[in-house]
Amino acid sequence: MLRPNSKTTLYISNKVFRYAITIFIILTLNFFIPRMMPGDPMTNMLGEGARWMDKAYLDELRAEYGLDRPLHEQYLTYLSSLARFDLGYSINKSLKVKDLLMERIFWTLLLVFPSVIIGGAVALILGSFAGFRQGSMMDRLMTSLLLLLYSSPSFLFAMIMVSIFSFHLGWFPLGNFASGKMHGASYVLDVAWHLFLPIAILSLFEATYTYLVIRNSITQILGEYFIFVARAKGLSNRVIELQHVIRNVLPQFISIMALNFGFMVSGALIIEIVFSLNGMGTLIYDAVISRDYPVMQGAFLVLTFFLIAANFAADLLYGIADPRIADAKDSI
Amino acid sequence: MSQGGLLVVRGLSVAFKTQKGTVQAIDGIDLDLNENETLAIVGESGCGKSVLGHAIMRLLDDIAVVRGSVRFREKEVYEMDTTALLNLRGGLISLVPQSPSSSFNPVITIGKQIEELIEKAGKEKGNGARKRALEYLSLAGFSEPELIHKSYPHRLSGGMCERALIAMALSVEPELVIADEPTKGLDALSRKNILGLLHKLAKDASMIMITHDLKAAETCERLAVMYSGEIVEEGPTGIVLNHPRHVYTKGLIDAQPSRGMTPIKGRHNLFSHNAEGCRFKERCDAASNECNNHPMLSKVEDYRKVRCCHA
Repeated sequence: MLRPNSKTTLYISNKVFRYAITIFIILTLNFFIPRMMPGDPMTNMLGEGARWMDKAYLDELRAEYGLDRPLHEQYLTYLSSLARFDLGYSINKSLKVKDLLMERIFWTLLLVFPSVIIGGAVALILGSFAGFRQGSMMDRLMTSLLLLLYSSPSFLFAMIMVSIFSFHLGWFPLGNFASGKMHGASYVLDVAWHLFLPIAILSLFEATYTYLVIRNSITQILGEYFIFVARAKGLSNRVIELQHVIRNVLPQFISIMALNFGFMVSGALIIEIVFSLNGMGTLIYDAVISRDYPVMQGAFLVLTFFLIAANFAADLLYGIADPRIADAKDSI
Repeated sequence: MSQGGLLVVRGLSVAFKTQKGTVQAIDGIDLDLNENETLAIVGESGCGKSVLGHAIMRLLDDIAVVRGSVRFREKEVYEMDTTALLNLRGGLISLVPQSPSSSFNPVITIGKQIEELIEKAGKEKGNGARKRALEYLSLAGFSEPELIHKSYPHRLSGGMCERALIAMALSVEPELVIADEPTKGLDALSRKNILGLLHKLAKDASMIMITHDLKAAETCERLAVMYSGEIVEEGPTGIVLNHPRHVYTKGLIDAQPSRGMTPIKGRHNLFSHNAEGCRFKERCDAASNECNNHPMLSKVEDYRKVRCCHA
């Protein structure tokens, strides 16, 4: 159990210290890995023309973006800018990286946050249902359907959905976040209408893996001796399922949800492309293609923070869901 | 023995269908238990004694094929509807499960797990259930019942879990307690304490103690020895242990550390349950041609039955 005592404080400060080290290592990798890729932003920006470009002009351009200086100097500048929350300018888009990220994160969260929640809830409900009625018609049907979905490429599925519901039936728009020129409530409704299909598809894909884990986890818990003891106590199946089994699934559920939240910022890339949604996924994709170092650094930084925050939250929730883990924390 | 006893078991057989063939876990068990009587069922691992305990409470999986009859207070257990059955389990019949450390749900406090049984059995509600849980924890010898009540199972040792399980099983004042290996894995002192506690708390109930520990069995009035799914000897504990009539019972007694730990020759295997004739003949020094006919459990003295043609 999470108790506000000195042990918990010690545990949290211990964790924060470890996360700080992790973040520093990731920041460093975020700087070096993009620069280890072949090509550079200038060549990319100028395209074919770079070959005939005056060498002096190219060097001038590189100097303008600070790309001519030795790598370790650039690294130090990068770190000191980060310390001032300055993420720099996008080379390709000529915008402040910070502004670019803010806008994109908003839309990505609007797309992915509901999907993770809905997907998780659907997986928990269907997974429990199938787990408790293992071998039944419903279980076999749902499990094979979700397994099929899990192993099929999401872009294909998304494109089929768009083709059916948007193109042929015309129920939903083909893409984008909004139609434009709308305000107030009608704008909100318009956005919801635009996001319905992508959220539905993302939710389904979020649900597949979680469903399979929950279902198998329930099978395993049903075989535990304490479930036999609960039956020997004359408890009804309902009480056993809802109070004895589901509570034991929660730690595992929390860890998957945390991972899903962590990856959600980048994970929607394919859906963003299919629905022409300009979120984090497409931003990272464009930045990688154009070797836009500052944008890559900034975007990866955001991903890092999301993943670490999700893990931290999961760590705290574990202790509530499973008292054995809370005790292990105390003994650090 | 009287037909109107608390528990009457007739011709109870349980078979499990496995990929290697059918395993006859217990075969044609007849058992009578009167009110306030204590019966020990002994036998080596795999003889079917736990299956018998579970079969009495109709707790076996769907893959088990059960034949015969189990009547509790003259009601057929295998004909009860769900409500009656849930009322029987953890109400009229309480199980003290084996493996104490895995019997409690790891994410629910001990107190909550005891209270849910008390409330289910309709004994007390809310705060009353809490008070009763605390009362039984202190009866089980915990000096700080409150602390145990709010603890999660992993914080308790095996012996403490066993005591908490006994407190839980007895908190509903059952008419029959089935204690499955209550002394398994305990040292001599804890064993003595646990047995004392069990008999103290169950003094108003009947008890079936399933065990392979003859020292534990000695604390019960009657003793049934099981081999390969059958009862091979049954009678008052003192008489059976001091004057065993079946070769297997003698073997069990001589296998005790205090009696020189002489092992019984050969090995018991699951499929000997299906063997023709006497199931013990392969391991028996006295085996003769007669043993190829399956012996009946027959009365050899008053209150004493043996399944052996040489007895």
